[in-house]
Amino acid sequence: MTSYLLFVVLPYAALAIFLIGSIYRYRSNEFSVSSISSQFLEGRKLFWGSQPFHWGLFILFFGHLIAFLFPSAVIAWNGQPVRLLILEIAAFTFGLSALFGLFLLIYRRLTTRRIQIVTSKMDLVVYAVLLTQIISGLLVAYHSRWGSSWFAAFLTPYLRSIFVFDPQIEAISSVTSLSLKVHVVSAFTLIGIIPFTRFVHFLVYPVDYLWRSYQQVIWNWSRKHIRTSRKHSEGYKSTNN
Amino acid sequence: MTTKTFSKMRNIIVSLEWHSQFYPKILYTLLEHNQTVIMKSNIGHIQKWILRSGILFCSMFILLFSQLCIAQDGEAIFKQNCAACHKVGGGRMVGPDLIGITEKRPEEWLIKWTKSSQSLIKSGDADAKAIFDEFGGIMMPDQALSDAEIKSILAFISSKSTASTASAETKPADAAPVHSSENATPDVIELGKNLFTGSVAFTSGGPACLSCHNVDYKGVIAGGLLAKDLTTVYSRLGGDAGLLGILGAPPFPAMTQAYKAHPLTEAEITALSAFFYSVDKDTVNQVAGFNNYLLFGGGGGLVGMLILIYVIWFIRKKNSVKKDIYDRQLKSI
Repeated sequence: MTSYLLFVVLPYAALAIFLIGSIYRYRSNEFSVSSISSQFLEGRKLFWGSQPFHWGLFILFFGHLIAFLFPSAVIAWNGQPVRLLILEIAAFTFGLSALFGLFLLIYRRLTTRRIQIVTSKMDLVVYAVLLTQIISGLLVAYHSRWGSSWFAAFLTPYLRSIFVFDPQIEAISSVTSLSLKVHVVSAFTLIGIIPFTRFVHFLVYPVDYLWRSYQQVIWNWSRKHIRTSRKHSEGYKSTNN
Repeated sequence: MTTKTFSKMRNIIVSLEWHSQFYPKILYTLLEHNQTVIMKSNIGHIQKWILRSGILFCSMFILLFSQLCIAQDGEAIFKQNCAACHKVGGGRMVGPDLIGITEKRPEEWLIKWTKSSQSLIKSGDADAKAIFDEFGGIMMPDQALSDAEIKSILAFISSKSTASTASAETKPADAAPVHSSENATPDVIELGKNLFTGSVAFTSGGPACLSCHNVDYKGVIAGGLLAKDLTTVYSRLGGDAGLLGILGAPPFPAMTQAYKAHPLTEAEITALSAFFYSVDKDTVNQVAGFNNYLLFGGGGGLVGMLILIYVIWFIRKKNSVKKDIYDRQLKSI
């Protein structure tokens, strides 16, 4: 019964909430679909947290996606032990880097005064889910070694069965590794809370930033006035250029 | 967002505008940011709604999760630990059919037997000795399970027994296991080894055994830890008979799923069986394969990645410009 709730009901609930919720949020509040960046409030810690975190998650996301879409390719790649080791160590590296980045981000959010002001409760939920997700993933990779192979072998069929509306939960519910179950459950939870959190920003990743040209913004204000003003609201000349 | 915070935000933005002549790119992003902030201030009620549903969702998750930790799933434990050798109704395999076992023997005896059948036999228990002899002297491996876990297995067995009492029929005892793997040629053993590690792919494209299983054997890297260690599987399952049965139709759900669409051929099963015989026999020559590749490799990789991030992106950042703006903001608040 618990298995049924966790591996059938939860996934479908999460996917439905994700689909309907994201569309609703975009239609009702287009401009709230963003990560609500706080880079201008604090940038230095953000850099060292955000960079490793996002690179780690980015690569791992596509790693899981590839194992889901092309399981036989992954199994074939893992045929040679050397290749298996390369894949696993690389994946573990990105997992560690995501964890490292997330720790810094949490530290930053909890200790920087300016960031505390813009922190919502859902941000803390986001961190809790991400922390569960990444730590359980690393535990699975370490304690239930060679996950890349067995993911392709029996988790891909489970995930596919979800998407073709014929859920087969025998295999996943028979697994004794608690961290694997936690990993799967928190993954679906993560999908389910996307519309309610800053996670939505992954749907609007500005891909065209990669190739769009620089844009010049011209302000129609009196430069001289700004330069000579002593009022903060109008800005004053900085000392470093 | 309150008016006060908003005006602070505006200060930051306006003071940055002066820099715009030098850093139009920064300002562009800032403008977008500001827009977001304004929008945020208009959506209070939606945020509340979002927050409430989010909290509801999370509490649901925590509730489910705690249940997962507490529940002892006898069926899952049975499938993982016992199903290779035992059925509940449907005849004997390597070990006896367990249908109705909870009525035949007291629970205490069953727990003792499950934990260590050999110590029970040595303690002079006549029943235990008789069973051991009846099944050709194949030892049942000790199970590292807690009393509660064994009880949950027994509860599962007794519920399954009552469900399928009438339909069960015990088959006559199988003939003694044939140890054909003892006569296997080195070539066959080598093939089995390569199939195990995956260097030779299964003809139907199934995953290599190494994905989930470990064996301690010369020249084989450390195997997976998701499922049982197979170093002594040959003797544990009573030689070829047990192995051939399990490899032909895996009784473990995860393994069933993995090989459902990719069944092993007979030649492959024979080769694997020969390999396991060799692993079991050459137990002295074992070489520990796993040297914490993951931890050290991953740690080294992380350091490398941070260096890369530093070299590519951090140096590109103009610290002086932003630092000045940051300090000024603090002063003006």
